[in-house]
Amino acid sequence: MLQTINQFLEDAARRFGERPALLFKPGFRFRTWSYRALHDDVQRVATLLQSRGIGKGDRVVLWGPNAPHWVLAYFGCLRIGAVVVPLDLRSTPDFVQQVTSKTAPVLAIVSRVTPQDDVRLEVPRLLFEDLEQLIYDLAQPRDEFLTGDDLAEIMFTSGTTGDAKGVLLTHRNLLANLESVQQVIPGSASFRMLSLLPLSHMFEQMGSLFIGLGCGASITYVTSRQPALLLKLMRERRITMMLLVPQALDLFMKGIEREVANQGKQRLWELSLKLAQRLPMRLRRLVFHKVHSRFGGHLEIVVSGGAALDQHLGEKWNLLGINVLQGYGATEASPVISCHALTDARFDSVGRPLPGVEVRITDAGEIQVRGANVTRGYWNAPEQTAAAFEGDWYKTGDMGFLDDAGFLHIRGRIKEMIVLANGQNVFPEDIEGVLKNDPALTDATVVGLHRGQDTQVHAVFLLEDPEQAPAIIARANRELAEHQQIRGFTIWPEADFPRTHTLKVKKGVLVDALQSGPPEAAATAAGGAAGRAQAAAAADPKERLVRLVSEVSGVAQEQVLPEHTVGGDLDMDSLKRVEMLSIIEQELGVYIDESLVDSGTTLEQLQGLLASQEEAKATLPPFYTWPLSFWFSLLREVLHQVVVFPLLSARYRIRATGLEHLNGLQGPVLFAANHNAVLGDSMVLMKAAPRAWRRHLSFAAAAEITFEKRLTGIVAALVANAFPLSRESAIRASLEHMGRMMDEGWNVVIFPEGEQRIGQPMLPFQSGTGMLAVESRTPVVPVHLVSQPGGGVRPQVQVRFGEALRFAPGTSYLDATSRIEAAVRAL
Amino acid sequence: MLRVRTGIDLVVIEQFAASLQCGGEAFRRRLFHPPEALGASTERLAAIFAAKEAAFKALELPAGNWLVLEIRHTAAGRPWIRFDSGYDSAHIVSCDLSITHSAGFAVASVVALLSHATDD
Repeated sequence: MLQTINQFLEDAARRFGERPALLFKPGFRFRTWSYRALHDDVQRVATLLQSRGIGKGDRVVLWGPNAPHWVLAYFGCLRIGAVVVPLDLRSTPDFVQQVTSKTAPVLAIVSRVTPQDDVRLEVPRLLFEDLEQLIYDLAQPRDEFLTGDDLAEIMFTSGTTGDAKGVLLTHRNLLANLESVQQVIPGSASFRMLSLLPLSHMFEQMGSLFIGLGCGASITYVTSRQPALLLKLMRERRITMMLLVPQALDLFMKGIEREVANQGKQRLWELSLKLAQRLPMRLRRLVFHKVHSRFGGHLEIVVSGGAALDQHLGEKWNLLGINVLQGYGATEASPVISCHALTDARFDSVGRPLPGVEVRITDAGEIQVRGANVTRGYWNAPEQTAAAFEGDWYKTGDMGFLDDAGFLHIRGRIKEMIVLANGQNVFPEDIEGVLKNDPALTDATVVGLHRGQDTQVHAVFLLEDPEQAPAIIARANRELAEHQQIRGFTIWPEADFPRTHTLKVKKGVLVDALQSGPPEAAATAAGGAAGRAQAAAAADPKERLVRLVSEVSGVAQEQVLPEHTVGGDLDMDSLKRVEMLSIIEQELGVYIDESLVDSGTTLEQLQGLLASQEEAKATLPPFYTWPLSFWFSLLREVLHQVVVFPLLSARYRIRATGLEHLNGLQGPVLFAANHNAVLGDSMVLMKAAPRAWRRHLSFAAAAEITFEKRLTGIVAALVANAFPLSRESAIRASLEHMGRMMDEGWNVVIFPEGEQRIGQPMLPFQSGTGMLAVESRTPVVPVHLVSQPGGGVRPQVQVRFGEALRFAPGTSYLDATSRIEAAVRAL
Repeated sequence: MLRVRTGIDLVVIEQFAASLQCGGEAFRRRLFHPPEALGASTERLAAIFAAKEAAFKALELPAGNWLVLEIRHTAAGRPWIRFDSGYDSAHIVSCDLSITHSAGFAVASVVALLSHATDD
């Protein structure tokens, strides 16, 4: 039995070693941490923390988006007994302030995208993005004696600004819950998970991080939430499993049904759904293969949590051939209390209580829980702790019942907390506090109203002048966090709210009256960010560009005209221009070189650039996968031995030196060679390379020359295993080609001079060389080809391999370029 | 003939911070070499940005070549400009840079002695 999270990580590294654990794609290559590498980097992070005087019991705030670096920081803290305090990226400044003043952290690890400017974080900070550079050459940490009862993290209940409670979770709590969940969902090393929900919440932490690492799965983190990029990532990684909130499942389903309607295929859709009821999962996937291919073609399991899943929605996904598993939990239970197994998936309940988690229903109908997974209480809050327990039973505050088959059913929340469809909690008191400061109001109360899958924050007013209501809401919303925003309101028609004898508003009565009334009674205030995102994704490229330009420049969309210049009419300085191009790159996946855009560029020209880049991307020669196959590799080798190498031998005497530098090198490796020695230098290099290397060698060839004609492209791909690298356009797509080559284990040869000029002095290396070397994180072997005419008919060509260069993360691109160039020249 | 050229740039840190936030990782990659960004606060990044803008003006480099320059610091903390080896810097006889940030602004000034200039 494992006692601490450190043992869990060691155990995973021992069992799964070099299997991929964490992946993400910040640039053109996937960055992968194997289980071993994850374990080793965690040790280095622990050393870094110790070197900053951090030790057992010290609190460390983690405040950033999901990424492997978040995971490294998390486990690094636990390794030395420090206590993690995770913060949601969207936490309000007030909430952050409250949490930090309560926990007195010694360090905050934040991200560049963390909105920390409005917060006075009076603690030293580190950036997640710098972590790898800081730990690069660190050694093992000092050992720290830890037991299962040591605190691992303090998880603050999110969403309240009034009363933040920090749930204490020990190493034992987390491991106990993991062990329980594993008995119901054993998981498999073949799982390829996508992590979308925040790791600062227990659902994602347990459901993906712990479950994933516990079974040898790979977990991919996203760098963008743009729908097109998410779907591309799902395809590339062949994602099989992810955790979602019901709201996302609902949005996806609506998207699918909208498309079905657009194509006029509702009848076929209905029939297929009916047919699917009689089919096993495998055949359902076949029937709905188009839907599946949209999600990458391999998605099998979605775990829904954070809020209640509508029964019909769950069933519909199931009919499509995707297992939707529903569970129930609370942060205080680390967090899973009950969950469906793959074998008993049904949607009218939240599953059976997990083995090791005891559930009882009190006479009043409250669900109570106990077990090794249950918290010992709240941080520095003995009264709140006492109020949350009955003996050793944790009072969930939820009403429910267990049916005869032992399945748990939830009836509703006891407390009046509003749980939004995305799982975020809203406390009405917080919003009422803001509203009641408004002098125009007589009184106000806030409730959650169900609108289909959604739960809306709804305000009910006692107000003399009803016309003031929108202004009151606008004022209040400015002070409220995104999830607390008031989405609808009702003017109460009577002089006062219904109240109890202690003058508390009878909210149940209010909600009943509002739910049963016509929907118009509850005028909606806003459409919601999710809807906007969908509209944005669906709009055509021109509209999207106008929207982006409008957002960055602050000029209203309808006032942005095609003839407007970026610098003049839209008043964008160089800073704004870089911002705009960065957003275009991230949101539309198109890289526009900034040297092509100046202050006089019009919106129309920008649209032209965007279109030409998209076209270039589309016309970039295809990335052939056939040359990588076993049979074509074999054919290539035969061609080399029978045709190419004899021809080369007739022309040159080829001599390789420095081959000892390749011994013990682990691929993939980047070879950087000069391009001014002989014609056919790529084939000369190929012949000079030892056979073991030759078989895994590929060449980056100029897309604009070699791949301009289809035939030469195919020949180059066949003979030299060449792939297109574009210098002029579609740079990003080209780099992705190269990243993919390396991700598949191929060594890549580049000619950093950029053009071939036989017999001329070597040109300076292009600055992109260093960027490639640093960002691809591969060793770079310098290669110098020298033609020595000498006597005789056949000149000698020497191929000199140098010692591999390695670049620490964060090395300057310029430094890397000069070092590579110097190394090639020195050979 | 030697010519003196100067360049100056002022950045409002609040605006820079907003761009950094919205532009994300792509924004950072376009503007800064990894060592420039290492551990750098928003103010410092704003100052490096200003330094590059000032350098473009003084050295008559077309804007947008952010990665042709790298702003470095001596052990004593004095900033200096390093050029990409692919950039022909032969015409720059000498060049000096000064940076400051305070009260919400970052300012950088570059003075360069050039062996020729593209215009008067």
